[in-house]
Amino acid sequence: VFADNPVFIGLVLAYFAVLIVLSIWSGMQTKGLSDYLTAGRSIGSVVGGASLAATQMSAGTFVGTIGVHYLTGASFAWLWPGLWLGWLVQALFVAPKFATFGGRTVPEYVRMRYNSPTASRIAALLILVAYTVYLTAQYQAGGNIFQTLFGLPFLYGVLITIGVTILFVIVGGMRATAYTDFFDALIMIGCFLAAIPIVLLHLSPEQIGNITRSLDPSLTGWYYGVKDIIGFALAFGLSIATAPYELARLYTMRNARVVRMAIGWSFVIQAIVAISVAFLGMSTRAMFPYLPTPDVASTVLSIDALPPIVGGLVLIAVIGAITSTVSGIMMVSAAALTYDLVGGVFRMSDRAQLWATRFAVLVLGVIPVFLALQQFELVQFVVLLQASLVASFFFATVVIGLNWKGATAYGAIASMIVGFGAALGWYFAGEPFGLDPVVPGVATSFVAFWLVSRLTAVPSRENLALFFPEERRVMRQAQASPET
Amino acid sequence: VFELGVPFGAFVIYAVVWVIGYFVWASRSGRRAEEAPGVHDRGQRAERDGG
Repeated sequence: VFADNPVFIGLVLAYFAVLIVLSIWSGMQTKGLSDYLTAGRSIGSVVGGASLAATQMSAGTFVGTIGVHYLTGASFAWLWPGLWLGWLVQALFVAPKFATFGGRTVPEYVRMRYNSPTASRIAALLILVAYTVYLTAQYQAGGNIFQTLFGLPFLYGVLITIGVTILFVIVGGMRATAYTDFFDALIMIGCFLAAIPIVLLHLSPEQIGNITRSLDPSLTGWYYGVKDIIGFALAFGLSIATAPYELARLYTMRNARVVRMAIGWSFVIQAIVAISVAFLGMSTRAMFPYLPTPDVASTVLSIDALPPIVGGLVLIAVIGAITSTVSGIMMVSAAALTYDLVGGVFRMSDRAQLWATRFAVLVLGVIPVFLALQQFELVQFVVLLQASLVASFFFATVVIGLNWKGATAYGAIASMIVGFGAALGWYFAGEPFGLDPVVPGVATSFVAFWLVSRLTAVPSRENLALFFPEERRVMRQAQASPET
Repeated sequence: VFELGVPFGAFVIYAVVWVIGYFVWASRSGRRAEEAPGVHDRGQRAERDGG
């Protein structure tokens, strides 16, 4: 439908042009590997918050979530408080120490905290495999959107999505990723702030409520009950609290205070998006009550209820949600490969590692295209389970490691393996009690961590001092008075 | 906001209170955090970052 609309074509081209300009500007600022991986630790709280929010929100937030609100009403919005509890865990127990540590990658944290290259390599390998495969889902979403909007073949849509994203990640690295995320977040907020008043010109809130209530009373009531909401809270909250693609963003910000404020700004953006998608999903139900599938709700709203420029902005926000997620994942998996895996074996100069990471972005960005086209069953499995598996693997390693000095390297390795295995087993057991695999995964990883750590030796004081102020004080006192 | 039902209206209020509450906490705890020394001093971090 949009194939012949010059306004929308112009908006898409302008969007891509802005991404390219931001990437070139970021590339000119990039002086070395650290700059490339951490944006020179120069990101402030507003851009950082937008980056956290945009990376978290994918095509699913717009297409899928508007569709769910269309189908089930407003109560699905209550998944967000669970997600925000996960962010709160990050703000309280993870972000300050992570930002102050000043590392470059998440596996580097594992190596430095536990003094264990083995644990670090296991972590890097999981990130590499899970995230590279997970990209296929985002590519498929990009391919579908371009197919729907422009009538382009699926593969062309995939290639446009990854072509632009790979280009700006290779050229601009984490700085380009952060600033394009900020730009994407502005579009997300802008499109909703423009769309909602226009929808209200068609229907008042009272009319939307009355129409949806007449279609199904549960649309304005509690379609999802307390048990469902607690299930969402656990699954989403545990998954986001230590997601490596979000943790990597913490390294880009100036200090712990900036990180805390950034999480606040990400709440502002998430709240606007959450309220907007719930409102628009219900409004679309009131305007177009009998769509063939809820997944087309956002497209129908954009094309049939909004002026081209606003409808176009909504659909660009969807494309932006995909590129921001893809770029964040590309950065993390490329760094895991070159910095943590290859860099741990072969000594490379800073410049060589920078170019190796750029090359890895290209290779790791292309592999999922083939995976998407081959339709492997394993790929679908990883896409479905990656958030649960990664959280079961990392949650205890990060949260316990940053807050309990007794945590040991063997405890961390045990928790990773047990948590991963438990989540996998829970999934294959058919998810008993309707519980997401992340819950037993994280619970068992905590137990394994505690038990094994009690039986094994803690890392040296030098390693602990990186994360515990009291250990630093003891070291300083020891250095000041060596005779004692 | 309650014209769209209790779940929607209650969520809007929850979201506003959550955001305001978080910023109040973050600004207070941020002041305390600023007073605490960092993990790496500038020299150590610059050395590891190659800059």
